[in-house]
Amino acid sequence: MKRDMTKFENIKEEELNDINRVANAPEIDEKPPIDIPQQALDDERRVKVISPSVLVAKRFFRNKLALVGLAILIFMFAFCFLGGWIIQYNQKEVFYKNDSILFDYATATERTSYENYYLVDSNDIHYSVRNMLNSYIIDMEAQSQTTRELTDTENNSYTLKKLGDNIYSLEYNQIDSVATYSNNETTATYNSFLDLLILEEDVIIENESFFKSTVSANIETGSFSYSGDDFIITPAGTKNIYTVKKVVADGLFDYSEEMLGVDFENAVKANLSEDTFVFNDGNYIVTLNATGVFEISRDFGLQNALYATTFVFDCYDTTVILDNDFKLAAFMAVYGSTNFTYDERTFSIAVNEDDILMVSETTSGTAVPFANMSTFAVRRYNGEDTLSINFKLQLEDAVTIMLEQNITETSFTAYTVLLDENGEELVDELGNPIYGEAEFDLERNLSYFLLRNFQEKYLINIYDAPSAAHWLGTDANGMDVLTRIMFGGRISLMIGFIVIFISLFIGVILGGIAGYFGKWIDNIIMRLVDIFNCIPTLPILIILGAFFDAVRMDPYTRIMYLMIILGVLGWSGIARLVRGQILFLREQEFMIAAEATGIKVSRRIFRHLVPNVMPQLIVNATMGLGGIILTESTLSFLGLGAKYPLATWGAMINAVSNATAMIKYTYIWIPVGLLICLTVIAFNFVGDGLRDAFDPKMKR
Amino acid sequence: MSNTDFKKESTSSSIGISIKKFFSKIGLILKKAFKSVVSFFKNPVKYIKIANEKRRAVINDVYTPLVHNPENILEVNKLKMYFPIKAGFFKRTVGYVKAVDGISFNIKKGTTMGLVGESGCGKTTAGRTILRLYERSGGQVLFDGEDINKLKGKKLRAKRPELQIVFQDPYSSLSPRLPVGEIIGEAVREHKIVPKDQYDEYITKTMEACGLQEYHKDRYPHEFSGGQRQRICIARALALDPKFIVCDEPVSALDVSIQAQIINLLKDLQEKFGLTYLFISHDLSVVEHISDTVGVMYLGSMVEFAPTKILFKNPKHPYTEALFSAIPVPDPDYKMKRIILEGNIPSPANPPSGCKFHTRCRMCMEVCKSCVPNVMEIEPDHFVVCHLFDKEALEKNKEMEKELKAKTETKSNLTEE
Repeated sequence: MKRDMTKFENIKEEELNDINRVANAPEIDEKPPIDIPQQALDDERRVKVISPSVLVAKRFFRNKLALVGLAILIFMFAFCFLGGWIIQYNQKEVFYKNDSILFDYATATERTSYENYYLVDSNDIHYSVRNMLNSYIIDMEAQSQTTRELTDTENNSYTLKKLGDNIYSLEYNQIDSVATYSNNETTATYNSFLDLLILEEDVIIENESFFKSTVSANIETGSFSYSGDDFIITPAGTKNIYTVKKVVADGLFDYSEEMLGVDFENAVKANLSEDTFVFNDGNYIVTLNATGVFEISRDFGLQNALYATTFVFDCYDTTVILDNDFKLAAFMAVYGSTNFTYDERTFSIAVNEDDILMVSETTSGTAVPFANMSTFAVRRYNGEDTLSINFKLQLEDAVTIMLEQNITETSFTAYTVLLDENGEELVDELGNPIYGEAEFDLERNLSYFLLRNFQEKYLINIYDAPSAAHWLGTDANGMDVLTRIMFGGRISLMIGFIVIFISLFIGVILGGIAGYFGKWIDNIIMRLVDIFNCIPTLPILIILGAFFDAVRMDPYTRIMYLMIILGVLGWSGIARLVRGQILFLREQEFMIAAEATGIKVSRRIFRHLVPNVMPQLIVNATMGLGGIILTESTLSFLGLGAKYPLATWGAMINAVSNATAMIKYTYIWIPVGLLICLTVIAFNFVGDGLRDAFDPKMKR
Repeated sequence: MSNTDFKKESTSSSIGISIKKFFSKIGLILKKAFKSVVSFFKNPVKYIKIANEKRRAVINDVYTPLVHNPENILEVNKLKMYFPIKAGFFKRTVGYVKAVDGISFNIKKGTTMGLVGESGCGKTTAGRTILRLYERSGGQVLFDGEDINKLKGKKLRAKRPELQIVFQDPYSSLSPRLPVGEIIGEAVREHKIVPKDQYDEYITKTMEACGLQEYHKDRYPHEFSGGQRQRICIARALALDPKFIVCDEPVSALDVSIQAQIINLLKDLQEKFGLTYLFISHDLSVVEHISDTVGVMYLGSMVEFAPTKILFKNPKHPYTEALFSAIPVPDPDYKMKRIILEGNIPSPANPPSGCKFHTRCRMCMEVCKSCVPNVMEIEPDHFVVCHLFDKEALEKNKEMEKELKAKTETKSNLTEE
């Protein structure tokens, strides 16, 4: 029988090797010639046994595109992690430089607004007068008046006098409160509604309850006597509340400053009915206020309250700082006696040959120029008065010429102390300043003149072009771009892995449960997946970003939360994939066969189901990594991801949002953009490669 | 005018009636649901009991328990496998697909039983239900005198290796991520069939017995051809040292030459290891070649069961006759007496009343339409389920025909008048 050929016992071992031969030629009785080598599919010489992981690796490495992707990724990781370790800068390091720039040196202005110099406490003058003084003066100038009577909102009268050019004085009627006098003393407050009596501090009354009942009984009469003292009851202004006052026969004086003695008190008592009285050549006023207390105040008559002037003092010695008293003395003297003493020194004011008011010190007998009074103020750019009078006069001349010629910009050369790079005065070996000609730019603005020159300054080195120190230049914050790319890459690359890990963790567990157990569990989990799929990711992330901004979250914590949120929002796709795969595999015959062989459920899941889902998961995860990096970049670009000073690639590419930076400083954002593109492409290449390598149906 | 008015009225009234009907229907449903909920909360144990009884009543799970005959390795008694049809929002069971509807047979130790029938008649389901890969709806399966359906958990898993299955599709029945050695040996290790030190040797031996080489161990299923894959499936089943193997159309996916190899391999293994097979196939020549006894199934029930030689010589049931008439004969001059069955197979969810085959039977009688036929032993070991061989049924049929005649006569008389 021909069929016996295939019977087990009749077949020799070599023949069994070659099933093809048996299958295709069962009819041939003769054996093939020995010298022709048998060509069989299952020849041991042809096929080597390869473990599955090696097989996948082999397939993967055969894919050139995947290799390119892998090489790029390895480069990226080395660049970011090793590079950041090697490079000497830190990502948060700000770089500075010295540069000569046209910088403000001084400002000059013709003063037109009047400044008030007070002889008395400024609060004695009512604010309505104080604040309006400048406009009153301007009005007076316009009408060429010399005096003007002013009244404030409380009907006090003032007199504004013009003393001379640029100087005015304000006189007012000075009335100082001296003391108060009253012939009763508040002992308690009584609440008739609650029947409650509250005694003042330090007041002791015998038998309080009886006192209270006496008070309540006498509310209507308004006065009563109690244990030899007279009391009066007055309504306190609030309903049901009364003040109980004890009448004091001699009356009480309460002085605001110094005690004026018994004579004064007698004078007051004698003149209580009068409005005014004279005591010790002083005029006093008595007024009765609403609470039944007499107020006694002294009337000093008209007094000089303040000087309003546009004058400024330019001292010959720039180190001298003039105080307010000197200025007041000078103002008093300028249109009067022209001589004044201050601090045991004598000064005189005179107009010199250049028509400038000059203050000279005459203590030693000869007039030594001390200061100039003018309305032309020259100050350093920071407001300090350190410029020499010579320089000021030169500048004033230059400004006058400028005004005559009606030009807005000119250059100005001054013979002055020369300045070094930092704007300090140059000094020779002996410590004397070096004089020379210095160039300035003089520019006329609306109300002032601006003097500028080239100064060497210590600046933040922003937008520095690529150089040996900074290979890719510096960014808008003066930080090294290359360093930040390296440190930023660490975060950008790590984010992808962590987010994918979180997503995988949740997705595999929930998807696996849904797929394996099915029924209502599957239904619930899938609805959850639907809900998560419906959540619009970007708006949520924008809201969260705003929230993080609001709570001023630390940049590192922020990145952590961002990763968790991205992971939690991203698991639904993976869960669906796993569930679908498991549903499909669960119904496969090899799963039924596994059940028939009586293998444990756990083994069935982990040996048969999971390995079949793994490739898809790995591929999905690798592909997802690129996506996550892009998402992070997008978020950082929108300002929702990592925050300054923490660097990520997305945050760095944010430089593009500045139009100047985009056009002029391409070296800041092009490298980062390229790196993002390359990394995402590389991840996709590797993912593709893995997918092909894992597919068992792919040819070797 | 009046005509159109009438039309309008009629349509509106019909809509009203339909709305009324709809609401009354909803009311009824709610009433029913409310009643069932109330009864559930009153006595949940009783409720579940009643529900189970209802289910059993639907399935009609009635059988007399078998007495074990030690000659038989497998005894199947009124086995039923109904798959519920679920519909609606709440997935209520509306009906059952009666895939296996009360089949009974015995298999003796060391023999092969063939199970034939057209596709969709429930052969595969029967095989899988016997192995308890599906939870049966009714009936009894005794394996070595032990009711498989009463086993649970670890005991069931320990019993599994004794009953194995070889699938029809060798492509989907092997896990693509496991090497062949692992596929065959996984369960061997799990059940500790051989000591650890003999494990490798044992796997190699088993593979060689199935026509595979040792170096195939580390390969993956996709590297094999269909025939080799089927050998792997057989090796997997064989490695567990089974007593009984269900061969679920093991050769239908293979080409003819390899079919022969596989079938001979199965035969050899049977001789070598003393296996018992349930050979499911619709290929009659293969069944004739391998089986000792053959069961013929139609729409979930067994219609004829007999030793192979008797059955192939002398098929009794009209369905068996029709089926066997389709066996091709390799002789161009031979004139075949084909019996062609008319119509389609009825749906197993709603099988015909009486004899299930009566809609397509050429010998159909009046009894067949209403009465379920009994199992008749017309020869020793030859069982037929047909009214043709039942004297009582034939007599009954005569009466019924007479009645029918009388009825038709009266009817025709009435029409004439």
